[in-house]
Amino acid sequence: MDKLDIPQGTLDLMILTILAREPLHGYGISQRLAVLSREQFQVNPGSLFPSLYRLEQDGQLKAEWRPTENNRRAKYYRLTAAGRRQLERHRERWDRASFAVTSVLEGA
Amino acid sequence: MRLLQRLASIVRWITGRDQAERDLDDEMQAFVEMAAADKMRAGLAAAEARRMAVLELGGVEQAKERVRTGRHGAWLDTVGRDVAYALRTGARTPAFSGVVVATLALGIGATTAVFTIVNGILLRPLPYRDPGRLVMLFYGHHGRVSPWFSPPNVRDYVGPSQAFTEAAAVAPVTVNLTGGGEPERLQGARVSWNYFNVLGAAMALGRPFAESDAQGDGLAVVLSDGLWRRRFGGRPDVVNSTTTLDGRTMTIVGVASRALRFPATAEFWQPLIFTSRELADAARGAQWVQVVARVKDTVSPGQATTALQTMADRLAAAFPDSEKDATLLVTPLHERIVGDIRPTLATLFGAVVLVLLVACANVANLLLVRGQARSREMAMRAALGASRARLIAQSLTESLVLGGVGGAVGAAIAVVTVRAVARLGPASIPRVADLSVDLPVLAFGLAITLATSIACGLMPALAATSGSSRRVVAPSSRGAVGAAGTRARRVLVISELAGAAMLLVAAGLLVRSYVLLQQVEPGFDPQGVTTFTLSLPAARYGDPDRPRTLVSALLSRLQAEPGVASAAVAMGLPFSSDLNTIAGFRHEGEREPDSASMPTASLRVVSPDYFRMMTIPVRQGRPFDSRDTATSPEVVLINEQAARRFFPARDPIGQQIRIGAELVSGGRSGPKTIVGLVGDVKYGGLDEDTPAEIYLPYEQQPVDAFTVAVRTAGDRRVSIASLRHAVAGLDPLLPLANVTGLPGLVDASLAGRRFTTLVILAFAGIAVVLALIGVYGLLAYLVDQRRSEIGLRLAIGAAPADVVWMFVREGATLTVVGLTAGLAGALAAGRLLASLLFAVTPADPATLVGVVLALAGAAACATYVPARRAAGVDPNEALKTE
Repeated sequence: MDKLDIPQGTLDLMILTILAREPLHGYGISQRLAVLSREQFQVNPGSLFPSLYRLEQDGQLKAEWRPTENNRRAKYYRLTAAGRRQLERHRERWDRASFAVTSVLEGA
Repeated sequence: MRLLQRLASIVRWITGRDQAERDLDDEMQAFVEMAAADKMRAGLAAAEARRMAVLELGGVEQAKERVRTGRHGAWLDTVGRDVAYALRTGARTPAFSGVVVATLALGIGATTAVFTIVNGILLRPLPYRDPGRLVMLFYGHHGRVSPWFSPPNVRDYVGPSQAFTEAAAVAPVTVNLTGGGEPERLQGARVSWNYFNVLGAAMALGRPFAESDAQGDGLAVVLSDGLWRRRFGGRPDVVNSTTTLDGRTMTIVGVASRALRFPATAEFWQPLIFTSRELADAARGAQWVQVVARVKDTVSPGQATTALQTMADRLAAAFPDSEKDATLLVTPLHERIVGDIRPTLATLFGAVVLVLLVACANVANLLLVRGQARSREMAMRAALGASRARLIAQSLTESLVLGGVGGAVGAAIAVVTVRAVARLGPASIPRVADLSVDLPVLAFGLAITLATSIACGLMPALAATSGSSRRVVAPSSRGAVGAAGTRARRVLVISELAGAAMLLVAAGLLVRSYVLLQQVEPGFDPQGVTTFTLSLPAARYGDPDRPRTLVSALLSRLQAEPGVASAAVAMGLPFSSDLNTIAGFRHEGEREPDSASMPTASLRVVSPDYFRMMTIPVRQGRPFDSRDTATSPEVVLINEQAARRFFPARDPIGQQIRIGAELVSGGRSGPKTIVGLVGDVKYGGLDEDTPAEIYLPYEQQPVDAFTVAVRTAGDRRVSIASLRHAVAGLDPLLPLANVTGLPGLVDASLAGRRFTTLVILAFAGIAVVLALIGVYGLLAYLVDQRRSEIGLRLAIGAAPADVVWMFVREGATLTVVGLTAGLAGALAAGRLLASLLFAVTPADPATLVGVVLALAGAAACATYVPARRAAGVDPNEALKTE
């Protein structure tokens, strides 16, 4: 089945949401995203990592190297306080936008 | 806060870059391994799992590149890497980089230097308060426009005018400075007491003149900064001390600021006080002061002219004899000072811009060649994921680095050049001593460096990146690469040839003018004549017998000097800085002509031996001799020009004239008989028409300032010390000024023109060399590019001559198109040049033909050498390389 393109601007929101639950490494995020989207989205690492690095630079994520459950070393990202605030803002806007879009579609 | 965070992360990114790179590497590695592990769990073989994982990552390198470029400050990093790369490649090919940098440095340096001169002279406002409102007045009368006014006219025209807030009269003066060292002759100006207020020039020390200074004897003086430093050691305590000028004790009230250079040669200023005689209506014909004024804020120069003209019309009604048809003009002071040099500077600037364009084209050409040589590298990078914009940015960075280095070297060249021009530049250029590199110049230098770099780099960058990445796969790209690049190179070479042709035409015309000018006969033989000027202070030489005695004693002393063939004095020696007195005159016995048709002539006062000393031929009648004394009947000589103009139908000898000017205060002013006719001489410059001249004998007009000229016999020389000794023997307080030779004076009149000619010639030389390099380079490249084709042609039986012809035709086409464009450009720009030419027109056929032949010949050589090499291609070898 064809995967969907991730809608413009929502990747950050999804990353922040996923990381709000627990810190994860890049691969984990991509897997979680696939599962949570019921395999509709698959994030290309070429898009995922630039987003992660940018969010980290903006102070919304913090990264640290930790061993994985399989005893590999991986870079785990976790939300900072700023990231949490950003997530709330982002989430609220998204909810309003998606409600608006749905309203339009149903009202038409 | 956010901004700070960003900055901090940029800094971290730059400082901790190696660590960050390693992190990124590890992270990607971890990603691949985890993905592969998952796939193995799903049942794939280890190798296959890993391959799939890498594929999923979308190519490790591309992913990393996207992370890098996605970060804040990534552009900085990119720029840094591009610059480092440019420096590395630049250093790897020192010859190439050297040529590019040198070419750009030459172009940028020359352009910046010329701009500095244009800026300093034409663009920079005069260093006075609100300089845009300063104007100079001009007086049109008898069909001539001159800046000279008579004192009553200043009083009557300027005084009542509502157009000006203030106006001041200025009269040049020379005085002898004595005391505290060798006596010295100084040039200065007598000025209205409010002069410094009008200009709004600051004082370095002391005060400007006050109204009280202009009463009584006016024994106050303001020194120029230069004189103060040179003669008074720059001591601050000179204010209120005294100095002796022309034997009068003057109080130094102030020192003007360095910026004040008006009149240009003035070293001091003293109050100008008009006597009642000078202000009398009868003195309206004696025009000897200039007027500088400050226009009211609400008045334009045009309105000021109109206001003055109304006044002039009123005066014309009141004084129809002298003021009928007089007109008045108002010109901005800045225009008055720099107006004459404007065409020269415009030409120089136009020329240097052409040089810069040719240099640019040449560098673009070189970069194109290199771009073509590096097209594989570009294709490889494109294949590895670099966008076209990225590649163009990188190419531009390379040309910016080259341009930046070139610009830096060019700035150094400009500074050195400008210093040299400021120090050695011909004195005929106004404001030249004040030239300096200032903010507008720096901005200009930076702007042209940027513009040049981009202009040079853009076309090569576009051409080098125009192909697709597929090219890298093709085994041989020689034939396919850069058709666009080659087309661009043709256009560039044609532009270079056109620019070079334009400059060469300009240089040719100027050189021809200069050569023709040097062949102009001045009408006398300057060789072996030494001159100096004397000015007799009125305090000791007021009685007209005193100058007479001094001059005759001095001339006999000088004639007795060993080696001296003849000696004479003259007021109005050709090419000297003597006062050129122009006066109206009328034929005695005829009724007074109306003022508009009153003839005017230049007055010269000379001693009897003058004509023999100068080798000026006496055509008719006799020269002055011992018969012409202070008391004998008044006599004059006229030159051929005066005879042609004023006595077209009759013999001038024996005619009588009256002269409307008084050379010596209270001197003889009766009717004067023309006793001889002498040859014409050039006066102000070899390129000027000979004026009508009237010579008067010194004995009858003992003027107090004149030039002494001594001709030595054969190749003997007379020492300056012996001249000084001769003068000091008669009056130890009398300084010798402007000691020089007549050949030097004639030569100095050519200095400005020589300077312009040499500069344009140098520019043309540079442009021609660059253009020839361009032609040669392009042809050599084409030959190289088409080696296999040439080999094939030769293999199937083409004669070597045919192959040579193939390339010669290519070169000839470039040359013909380039030259045609260049000549068209030269003709179009001819108007600009016309005012600098002498005896040739901008379309001078000889020059145009000469330029065409010279450039075509040189271009033919530049074509033939590579074309010749084409014939030497070995078919076997050429075909094998395919």
